[in-house]
Amino acid sequence: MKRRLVYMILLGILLYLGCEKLSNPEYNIDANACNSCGECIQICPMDAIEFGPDGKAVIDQTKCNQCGKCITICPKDAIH
Amino acid sequence: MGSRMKKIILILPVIFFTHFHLFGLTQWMQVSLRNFTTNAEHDIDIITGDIPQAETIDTASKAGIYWQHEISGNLYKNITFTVENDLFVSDLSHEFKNSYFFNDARFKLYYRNESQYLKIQYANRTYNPAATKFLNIPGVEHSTQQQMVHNTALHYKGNHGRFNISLYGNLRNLDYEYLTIEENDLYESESAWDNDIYSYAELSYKITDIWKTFISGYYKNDLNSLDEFDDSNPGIGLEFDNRFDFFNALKTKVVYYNNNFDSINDKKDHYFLTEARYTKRFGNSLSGFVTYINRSCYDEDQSQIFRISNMLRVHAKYSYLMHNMKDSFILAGVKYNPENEGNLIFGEVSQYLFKDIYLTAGAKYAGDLFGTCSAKCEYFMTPLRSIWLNNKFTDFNNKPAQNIISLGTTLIF
Ligand code: SF4
Ligand code: SF4
Repeated sequence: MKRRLVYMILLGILLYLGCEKLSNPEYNIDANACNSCGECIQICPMDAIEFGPDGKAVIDQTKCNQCGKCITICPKDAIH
Repeated sequence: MGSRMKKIILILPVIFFTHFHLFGLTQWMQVSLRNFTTNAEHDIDIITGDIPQAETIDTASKAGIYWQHEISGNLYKNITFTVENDLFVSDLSHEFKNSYFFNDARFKLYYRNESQYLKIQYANRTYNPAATKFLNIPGVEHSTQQQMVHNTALHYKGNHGRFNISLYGNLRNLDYEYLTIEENDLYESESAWDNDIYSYAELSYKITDIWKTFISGYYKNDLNSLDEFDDSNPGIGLEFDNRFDFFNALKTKVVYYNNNFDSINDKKDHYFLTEARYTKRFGNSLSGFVTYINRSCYDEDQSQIFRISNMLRVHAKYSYLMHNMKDSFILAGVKYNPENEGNLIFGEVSQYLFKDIYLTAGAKYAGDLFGTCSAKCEYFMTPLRSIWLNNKFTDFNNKPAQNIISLGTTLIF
């Protein structure tokens, strides 16, 4: 089991080292870390964030302009 | 949004509470008075109001109130409900917010039995125009002020032998005002609606107790017929979820999405999401987890894989004292997220002092974005009722620092 996790992380490191970074970033929300406080909704200048199926915040990628304001304000550091 | 609609929305909960026989009611309430200060050196102008006008906000401290209330209970044996309401009211200030006066209400009805789950939700966020900024939202007219957001959603999950199905639909209506410039450069505001449908379906098949495979489909339709903002992505994935014993659990997921959207980089058409979360306990006191999320895409034209983002989070918590069902603990963690400049390190200590008083202190440092430290002193009058004083200072890299002091109470009854 631990081996599987190590493989995953190694795969990630390979992808990280071997792949070029996409020019514009993309922001997403880790539902495991989000506490549904809604702070990000109140700061997003594009009205791009709303609560999704399980009550956790979700970013609508078609509206997001990658300003990064939400990552700065999230108290649970759930945005990446 | 007409005032008639607003009245109907206010009256609905009253009808609900007076016409149904409710039982098993629980309430959670948290109210706090807050004081906001900034070290900004200059006043700023904020455009708000029914008739848009710029207001100059000085750097003096500003007051506000935040009230959260949640009521939950049963309607019938299998039917439960939750009513949540968050009210935020504050002086206009330098705080980074779109609105300084809004009310967020959510009404959720759940049906559950051994194999099925159904949630019906109506949520309503109302903004007070006098305290709400004008924004530039894509897909709607420029200089837009949010008035009200309605979310009417339905979520169904069903289990049929080895098959599981999940269906979700949300109709989101944004009621907004936008500015038009009239003669002599006077502003006029007009009302309009932006309507979106978000839907998601997933069908999964349990290969064994720990392995499952699934196909999914996400579809967003901008009903204001701007195809540019439509989005659909069918996906196929494999998931491993095993709780080995009380001390170890691992969940991993690999998904491929075929993205179809006009407004986003073409390189993301073939999109891969990899997630792993390992949870570990060492005895009863020490626990922690490691989460890793990778997003990558394959560009057909260049025959090349691009990385979109990587996020590695390591989190450890040591609990050393239990008093009145609340633990004293030390918590520390790191988050590594280079693509979004989201690397950070954080720590928190919560300590029972004496006579039901707890002190919690935390610090967080995100080199590229901010540094923050906070302290909270909480007195529990009973295990379910407390009063507290909280202070949070944040030093942003590109903006003035801010400090928020809150004096609040938390009640469960
Ligand atoms: S600010 Fe963070 S924790 Fe709060 S709703 Fe947004 S993503 Fe979740
Ligand atoms: S990056 Fe900016 S536009 Fe995108 S969701 Fe976050 S706050 Fe909104």
